[in-house]
Amino acid sequence: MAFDDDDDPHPATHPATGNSSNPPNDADDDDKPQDFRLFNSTLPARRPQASGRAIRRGEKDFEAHGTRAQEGQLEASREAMHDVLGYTRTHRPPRDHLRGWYFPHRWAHHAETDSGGLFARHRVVVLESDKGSLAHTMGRVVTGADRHAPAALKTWLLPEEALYLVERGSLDLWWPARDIAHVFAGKGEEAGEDAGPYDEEDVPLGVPLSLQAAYALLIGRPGDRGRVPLERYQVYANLRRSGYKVLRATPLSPPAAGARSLWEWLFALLGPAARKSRASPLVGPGLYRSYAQVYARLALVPRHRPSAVTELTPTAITEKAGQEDEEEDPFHVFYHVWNNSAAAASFTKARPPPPDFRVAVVDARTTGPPTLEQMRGLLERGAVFEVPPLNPPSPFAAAATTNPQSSFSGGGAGGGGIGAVYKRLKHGWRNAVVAVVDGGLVSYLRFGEMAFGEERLYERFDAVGLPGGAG
Amino acid sequence: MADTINSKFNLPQHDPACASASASPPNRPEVKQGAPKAIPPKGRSLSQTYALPTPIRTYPLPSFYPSNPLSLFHVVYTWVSQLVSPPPVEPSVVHVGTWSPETRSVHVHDPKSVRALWEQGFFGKGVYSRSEPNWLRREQVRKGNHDAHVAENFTVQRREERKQMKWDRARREHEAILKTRMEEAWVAPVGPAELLALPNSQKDLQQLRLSNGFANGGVPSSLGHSPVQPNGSGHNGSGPVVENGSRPRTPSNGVMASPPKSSSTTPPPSEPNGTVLKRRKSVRFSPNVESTTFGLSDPPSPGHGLQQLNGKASSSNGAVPNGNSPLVNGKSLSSSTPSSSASEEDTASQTGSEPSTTTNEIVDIEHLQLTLEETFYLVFALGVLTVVNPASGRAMSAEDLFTLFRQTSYFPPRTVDLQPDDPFLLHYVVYHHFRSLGWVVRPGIKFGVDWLLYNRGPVFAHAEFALIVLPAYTADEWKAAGRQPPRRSWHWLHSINRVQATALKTLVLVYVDIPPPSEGPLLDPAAMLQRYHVREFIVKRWLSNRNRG
Repeated sequence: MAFDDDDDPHPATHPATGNSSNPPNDADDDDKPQDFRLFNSTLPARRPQASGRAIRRGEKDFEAHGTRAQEGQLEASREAMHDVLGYTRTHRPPRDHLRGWYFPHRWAHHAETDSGGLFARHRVVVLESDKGSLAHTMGRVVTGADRHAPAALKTWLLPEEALYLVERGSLDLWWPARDIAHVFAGKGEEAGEDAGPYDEEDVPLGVPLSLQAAYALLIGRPGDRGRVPLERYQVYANLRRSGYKVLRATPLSPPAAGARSLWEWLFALLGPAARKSRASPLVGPGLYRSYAQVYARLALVPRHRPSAVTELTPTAITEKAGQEDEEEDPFHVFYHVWNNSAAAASFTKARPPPPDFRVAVVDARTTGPPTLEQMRGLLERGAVFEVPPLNPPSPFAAAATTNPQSSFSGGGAGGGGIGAVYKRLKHGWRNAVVAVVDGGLVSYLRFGEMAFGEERLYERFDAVGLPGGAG
Repeated sequence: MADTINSKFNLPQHDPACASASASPPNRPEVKQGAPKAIPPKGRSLSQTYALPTPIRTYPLPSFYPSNPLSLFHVVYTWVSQLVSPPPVEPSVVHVGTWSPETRSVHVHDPKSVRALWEQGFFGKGVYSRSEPNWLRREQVRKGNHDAHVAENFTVQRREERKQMKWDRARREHEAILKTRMEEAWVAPVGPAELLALPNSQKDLQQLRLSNGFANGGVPSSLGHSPVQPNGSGHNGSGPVVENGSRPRTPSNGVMASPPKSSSTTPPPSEPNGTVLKRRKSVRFSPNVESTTFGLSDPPSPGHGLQQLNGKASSSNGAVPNGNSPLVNGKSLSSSTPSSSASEEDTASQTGSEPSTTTNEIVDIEHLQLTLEETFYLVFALGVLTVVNPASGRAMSAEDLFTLFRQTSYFPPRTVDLQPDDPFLLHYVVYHHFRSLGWVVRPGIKFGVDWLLYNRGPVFAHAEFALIVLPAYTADEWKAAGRQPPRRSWHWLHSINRVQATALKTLVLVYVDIPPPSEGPLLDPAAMLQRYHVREFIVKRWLSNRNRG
């Protein structure tokens, strides 16, 4: 899977730009200004819009050179921008009208029955109806509750989902003046007869809330029940607006640290100690038949071997087991993210397929780049939080793109040319995306577990018939 | 550092500069993909010169093919011949280096050792060179005694070509703009007002031109109905043509500004008669003809510029920056004058070689400079280097060097209280780890990182990975002592990562898990190194609009 900005689908176009100050790598950044003419063409036409001939992106004119062509282009762009900004936003007619009620304590004591990603304790907004396509990827009906309780079969939203809908203009959030039984008394299961916010005695059931009130109610500190930290909401909204499906990551039950991994751990303890000390030149004087012999003597620093079972040292287990309070360490996977790949059609929010990306959210000002413990907690140590599964690079898929420069034809652990080695190394064994939020601006970084020890480059030295031997 | 060396070789998909230079064919060094002929002298190919990946030579037995029984004889013959006259015990040559406490590095002076250490694993750096110790050859090339290719000269040449390419591109853009402007500005003088507004005599024409300030040069907007830059002409003496100071059009500006005229609005035609004649003709009949006359602010064609430059060279010599001018075909002029675009090392070498200019023989005064980690790897791991203490004149053992380098890695050097996270130890663990896997590890300070990883070496390919070394204190003892790794910011990581993306490298965070100090101040380097754990993590930007699927 192409993870990064560097995995360019059109590598041949790169050398064409001969300007080193304009690296091709960043040419398609997301920091670009909007092309308002493209945007404009998507709006419902009130009048004939400016022509849709797209501005070539990536080129800037810094100075007027006095041609009318340039002025015309600028004017058209300006006009399109004006049209876009001047577009009157209207809420859809009541067909898609959604009204939600803020009931923060309805599920406060709901026990998490299954680890199906329900997060019932955090669901604070109930929808009167779940018409429309929005409910396809957000909200859940809380299972395991009394079916006859009021609003039991309604869709309940997480705070970030509710806030996103409010901010999008799709949801009216109401503050209930009566309890939940009154609010949902006359509605029944059929939400068809939308009677309005009054009960039988024409007493208002509640008041609509402003966007500011929604922020005040739904944004909180890490660990608050029913609230979401601001930066996590910002990442959620950013990903949703970019077209991804986002669900909260499911905490796993602590993985069974199998006997095998404990054995491995014990061996890892014994291993270095069992090694004997070596004489000063590691490669002592002698006759060597191959470079494998030479490099076998050079191997001294223990190398990392990725293992499918996340290794948990006993201290780590005791440390992490009782730690239900999630907010000590921000470096854990918080969102599961799906893109519009082929599996999108079969997406169900109750039983989602394995996510395409796993995203952790950190604040740019209060945290720094992860330490080794944080990195291992993010990628390997799954006591409380889910970790990315082992996704080893395929040794054969990458072999197609060998580097033609390389004269190596074989050898190495996984085979293939040096290009395949690079590709395997960059693919990594486990991957997670960390969203670094700085005041609402989100920068995503992918961190991946690498294993250079699995790619022993020196095995290639013998494969080439190196000239110079005595034979 | 070493990256710029090999950017001339191959890998066009990695090097935008290479690809751009290929757009301008003249004087391009002949570079082919499989057989770069640049560095190795006397017809040796690159893979012959750099055959050994490490300064150890192996003597493999020929392989035995069961389908070919004769090959058994070959195997036996080789084995017997090696038994009778055994090949020299590897490492056959032990080089000698001198510890230099002032520069905190180890110097190797013997030219044979310098070449060997460079060619067999790319150790060290020539002290007067960018990376490969080739100062002597560069000097010989400069004096014309040697026709070999030197990496630094290629860089200079490539820069010239790129400058020329940019210049050509800017000129083409400018001509396109000018053409558009001409097409737009043309209004047929059909109405009576326009006809009357046409200048009637040469005197009228001159007055009109003076009143308009000539800012628009040869553009017919001087006729009065100027849709082009109506107000910019007053104060902008160089006219609308000069739009961007960064474009390589400076020489023409310099020429135009150099004549000591009174004000910026005065017309600076160098041949007034000719220009006036042409102008009158074209204005009379069709503004399109006007476009064929060149305003002084127009970028002239290279030949034209050369003429102008030569003409002005006598009057204002210093005003024209020869070395920077892309108009001057840099080969001839920049070789005679000290080229300002030459690299730092070139100027250094020029000053350094001044005493020897009288004699033809150039004394090689360059030596190889090894970092602490490289030195220790050569001594401790490979055993191909002996380091001499200049004070005592005796060779130092690996253990002595270990202690010495750990002490020296602090500043000021500390003789007591050596920690398991000495800067030297921290970096040597990483250096040894990747060297022992077969990578060529070189310092990466020029890319803002600690180490760069090359496959086979910098002359073959660009570095693919850039390493940042970070200490980690996961042991309980460290935690009890409250030891924390140095705190970094996300801004720091992002800036490094962006630099690597620009250089088409991949950033790798290398964490070194440091053993607690309680396990004793071990002086045995091998036992010590086994207790460090090295973990690698890749860092890449993830773009949300690229992964939408």
